[in-house]
Amino acid sequence: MAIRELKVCLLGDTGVGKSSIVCRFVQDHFDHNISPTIGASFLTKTVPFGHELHKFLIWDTAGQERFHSLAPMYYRGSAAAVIVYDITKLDSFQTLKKWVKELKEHGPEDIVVAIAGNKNDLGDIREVPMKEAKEFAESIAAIFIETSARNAVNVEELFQKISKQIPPLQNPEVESNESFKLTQQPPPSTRRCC
Amino acid sequence: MEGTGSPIAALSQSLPPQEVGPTPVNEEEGGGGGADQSPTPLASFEDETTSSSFSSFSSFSSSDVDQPLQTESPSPPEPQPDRTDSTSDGEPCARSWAAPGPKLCGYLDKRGGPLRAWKRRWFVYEEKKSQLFYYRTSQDVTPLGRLNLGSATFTFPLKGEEGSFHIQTPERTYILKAINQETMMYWLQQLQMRRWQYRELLSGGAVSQPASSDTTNNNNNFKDFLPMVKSPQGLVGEEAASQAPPPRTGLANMSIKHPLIEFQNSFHNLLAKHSSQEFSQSVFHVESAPPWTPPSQAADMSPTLQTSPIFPTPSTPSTPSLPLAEPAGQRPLEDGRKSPAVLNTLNSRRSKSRGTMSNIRRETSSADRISRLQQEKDMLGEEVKSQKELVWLLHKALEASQLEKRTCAEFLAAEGEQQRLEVLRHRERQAADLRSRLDDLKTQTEGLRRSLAERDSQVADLQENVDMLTEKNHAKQEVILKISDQLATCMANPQRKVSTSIGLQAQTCSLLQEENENLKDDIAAYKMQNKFLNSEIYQLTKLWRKSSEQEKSLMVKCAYLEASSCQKESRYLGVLQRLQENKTLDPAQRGVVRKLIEDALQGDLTTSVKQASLSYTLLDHDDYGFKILPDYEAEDMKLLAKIQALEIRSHNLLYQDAGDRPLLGRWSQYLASRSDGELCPSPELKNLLRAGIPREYRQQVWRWIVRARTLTIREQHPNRYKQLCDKSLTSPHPASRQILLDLHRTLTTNKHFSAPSSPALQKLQRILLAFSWQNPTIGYCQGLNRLAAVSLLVLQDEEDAFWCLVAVVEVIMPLDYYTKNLVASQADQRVLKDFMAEKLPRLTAHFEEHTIDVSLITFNWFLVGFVENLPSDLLLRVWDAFLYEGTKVLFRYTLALFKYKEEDILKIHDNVEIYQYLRFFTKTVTDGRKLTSIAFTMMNPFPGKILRNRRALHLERLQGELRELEEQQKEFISGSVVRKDKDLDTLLSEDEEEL
Ligand SMILES: Nc1nc2c(ncn2[C@@H]2O[C@H](COP(=O)(O)OP(=O)(O)OP(=O)(O)O)[C@@H](O)[C@H]2O)c(=O)[nH]1
Ligand SMILES: [Mg+2]
Repeated sequence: MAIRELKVCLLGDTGVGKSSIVCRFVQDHFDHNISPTIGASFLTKTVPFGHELHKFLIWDTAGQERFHSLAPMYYRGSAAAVIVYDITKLDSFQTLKKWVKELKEHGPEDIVVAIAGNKNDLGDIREVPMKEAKEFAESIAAIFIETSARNAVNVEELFQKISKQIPPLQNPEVESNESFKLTQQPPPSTRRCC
Repeated sequence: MEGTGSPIAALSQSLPPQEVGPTPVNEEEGGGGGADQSPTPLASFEDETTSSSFSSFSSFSSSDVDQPLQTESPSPPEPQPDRTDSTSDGEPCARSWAAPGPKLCGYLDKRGGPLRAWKRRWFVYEEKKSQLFYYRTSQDVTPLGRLNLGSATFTFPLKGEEGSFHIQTPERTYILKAINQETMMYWLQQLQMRRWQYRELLSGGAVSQPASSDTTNNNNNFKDFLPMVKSPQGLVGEEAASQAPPPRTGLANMSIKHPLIEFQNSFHNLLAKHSSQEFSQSVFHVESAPPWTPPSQAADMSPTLQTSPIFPTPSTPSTPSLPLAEPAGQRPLEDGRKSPAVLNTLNSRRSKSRGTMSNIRRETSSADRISRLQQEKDMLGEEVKSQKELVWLLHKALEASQLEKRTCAEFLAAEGEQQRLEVLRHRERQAADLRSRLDDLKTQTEGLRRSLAERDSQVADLQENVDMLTEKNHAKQEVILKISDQLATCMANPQRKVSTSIGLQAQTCSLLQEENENLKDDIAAYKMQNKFLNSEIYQLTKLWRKSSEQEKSLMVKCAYLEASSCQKESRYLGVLQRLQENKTLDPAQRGVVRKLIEDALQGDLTTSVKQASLSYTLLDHDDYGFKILPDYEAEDMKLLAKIQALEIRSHNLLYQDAGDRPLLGRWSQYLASRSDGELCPSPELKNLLRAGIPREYRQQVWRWIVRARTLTIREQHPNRYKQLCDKSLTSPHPASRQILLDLHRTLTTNKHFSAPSSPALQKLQRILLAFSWQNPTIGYCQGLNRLAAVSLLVLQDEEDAFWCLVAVVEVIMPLDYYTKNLVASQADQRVLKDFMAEKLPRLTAHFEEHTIDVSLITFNWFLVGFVENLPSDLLLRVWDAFLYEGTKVLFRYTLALFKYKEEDILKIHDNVEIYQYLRFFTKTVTDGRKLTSIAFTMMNPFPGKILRNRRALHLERLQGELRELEEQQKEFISGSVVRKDKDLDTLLSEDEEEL
């Protein structure tokens, strides 16, 4: 079975639940008091998809604005970016729009963008209507899903949707729009197991 | 128990102890208070504390010995060996008891039974098991019960009866009473001493000469508390057995609930043919008493009752006082004749018994003989007296008969009837005359007696009058005296009221004095008790200390064992891992290996370890509240993670405190040579800090460093922290929202921060809010919360922690480390890469080969000063040097960390795996000293100048890049407005195409 490594980065305002989503996805665990991410953290998870195994190499970034300048290090070479907002915080939806823009400007050209409206369990204090978010996502041709890391809602589905969007065994071009002269990440590669 | 003389004792062996144990306790000898009445469960205190050799015995000791069924098993399964031979040769055992050291035994009163009355018991201390056995008498073989002293405490009540004291065992409290206070004290001290010796014996094992060495020890100790009371002569010890025998028959002293023991003891006494006189006498009386004593009394063995029928009482001959009562006169004679015969038999019996007993008790028999002779003498004297009385009576009778004879002779001498008649008549007249005279005299005397009585009563009345008058006189005189006294005082003190009150005062004064006396007595008693309790406390603490030392040594042993087990396991897992990597294995072997690995991973490390050891629960969190074992979540690295965790664990267990001791010595020496707070920078201090500050001094030294670092700011604004706190309350900084959001997400694994309501969190909040105004350009940056939290954990004081944060952010770290874009931080990552290339060329090449960007990992190490990246002990050691020397230390340790694991990293040849490894490997560093030595020796030289130059260079470049980027962005924005719709269109169309 072929293993495909897919680099995914999570972007979004601080406190929206990026780390929580990753934690739910990788360890199926939720921690109310998860530490804020400093810089970034790196986790992997392999899931079967069709005839392939998709190994997600997840870079979970820090949300506070002053860490934005580090983001390129993480989204460079990513096959997909998950931009997370908190449905109970309108601000976080605004930040999301900024991220979409930045990805468009500096991100890899063929990057799969997924928009995740997290904390779906807190529907009664919702500030971002689902319809609005969905329409926005459609407008940029992004995946849209509302999730709840706490209740394990739609987290696996989110990554399944990403898997679906990954073109099967193509040879993507190396992106060139780099703002930081850091060592290059290899493009998503495939390798054979055993 | 072999060779026990008592058949009943032998019978008890057949009874299994567990059948005896749980039978309900029937409180007979029951001590005072409700607390004593409940029998403690089988699992007694003793079971837990004493060695296993004891446990076979515990089922006895825990259930009360006083229960009636228990009396059938009078001694423990392992009885006193000396006791067995004593019973076999028929000697009274309580006396021939051969124990090492002076024997502690004696009569004590024991309170108990349903009546809660004092009962005299013979108490004997037994060394082996530290038990106090009690018997009804010193001659008894079978104890009524026993007290376990191994874990007993002693005290005596203040207001109790004289000589009473309490022995409190885990099962119950015994109330005992010695004959006087001194004896009580003697007993208490002896018991204390013996308890100590016993515990010594238990714990030490090899106590060659416990009695001598420890007694002296104890004597010394007692000097601090109470002088050793000398053994009261004749009241305790073996001689007490013979000198103070208890009343053998006093029914009150009988053990009601131990009829069997009573019987057994009497039976044994019979067998033993105890040579006491009373006993042989009582046997004699059973045989010879019937004429005088009722059968019920015959069985009675009371010596006082026995004596009464033996000797004829003088009252017997006095009853027939009339001269003609012949049979009565004969009886005493008969008795008198009989008594010697009785005495003879008595004597012969005595001599017989003396003959049999002479070998055994020569002294006693000679004393017996004397007393018996004395008794004989008394008896004989008594006899002589009665004989004399008889003689006197006979004399009287003789006199009367002589008179009669004379009259008869006169009567017979008269001639003829007439004359005889005359004589008779004459006599009769005489008689009548005499009779009438007698009557006259009688009435006269009667009259006189009456008048005498009258006079007497008159005299008495008069006397009474006189008495009354004198009394009155006295009272008057007293009143006069009083009044004159008052007058005198009045003269001296013109206020009259005072004088009356003085009278009252005098009264109250005397009352007070009395009370005072009482109180003084009380004080004396309290003092005495206090002294004793002091010694008791001292002793108990000594015992406690010993036990805890033992416990500690066991813990250490346990830790070592666990450490070695951890090491073994980690080695085993390592082997498994290597096997897993081995490609030459066939599939079956591979399967086995996989299975083994799965099994190994299945046992959850923390829980299994927790169950396995006591010490772990203590070490769950370190002194600063950090979890000692980190959690691993890396999916592919579980095996490796477990190996690492095991290594950490074994390392921690082995070097818990051993490694820090010399360091502690160096530090205490260093700090002692300086007056407090007056540390000054020196190479010596630098080296000490690099080695790490012992926990004991860390707070103090950090405070000093922070103070030195922030001196100027603080001098300019003495009340800064308070003002900032107030300001942050009245006008919150925009960053405060983020601060509140992160507050509960700070050091969540640390127990001081894990509880939402913990005071540490509130302190942290105030510190961060204050800092947002201390440095408004930074305001708040994620990561500062961790810096503040560590400062708070070490410094404790909120304001100190605030200044520590200021010192790190504003003084130690370069400018713009935490401001927008974190340029200085990013620059430092480039500086690090330069150093890596220089100091670790192999690793740099390896990283380049696998396109690893270490800054993705190391960026946050620098930003948060390794908080949550290193095990807590190492983290604080890094900070010790970091606070003093600055950021150079972060570089040194970062390089050292890579160096430490260089070989391991070089073995990994996959980009993802390397990242995964780098993400957590810092937490697996076990040998802190090795890391420190790499950081400060291997990485030398590390001149600060080069660091500064490189920083400046990279910062400049970065800022240039940033400017470029900003320009690009501006361009993009202006352009994007135009392209926006088009862009979306293309994106959409592309998507559609793909789908
Ligand atoms: N109710 C609810 N709370 C959530 C959910 N997901 C995350 N949270 C909470 O939101 C807070 C922030 O979660 P994180 O996962 O740390 O957010 P983040 O985006 O990683 O934050 P940064 O690391 O600072 O960028 C935590 O207190 C979580 O418990 C969710 O699905 N429902
Ligand atoms: Mg996060």
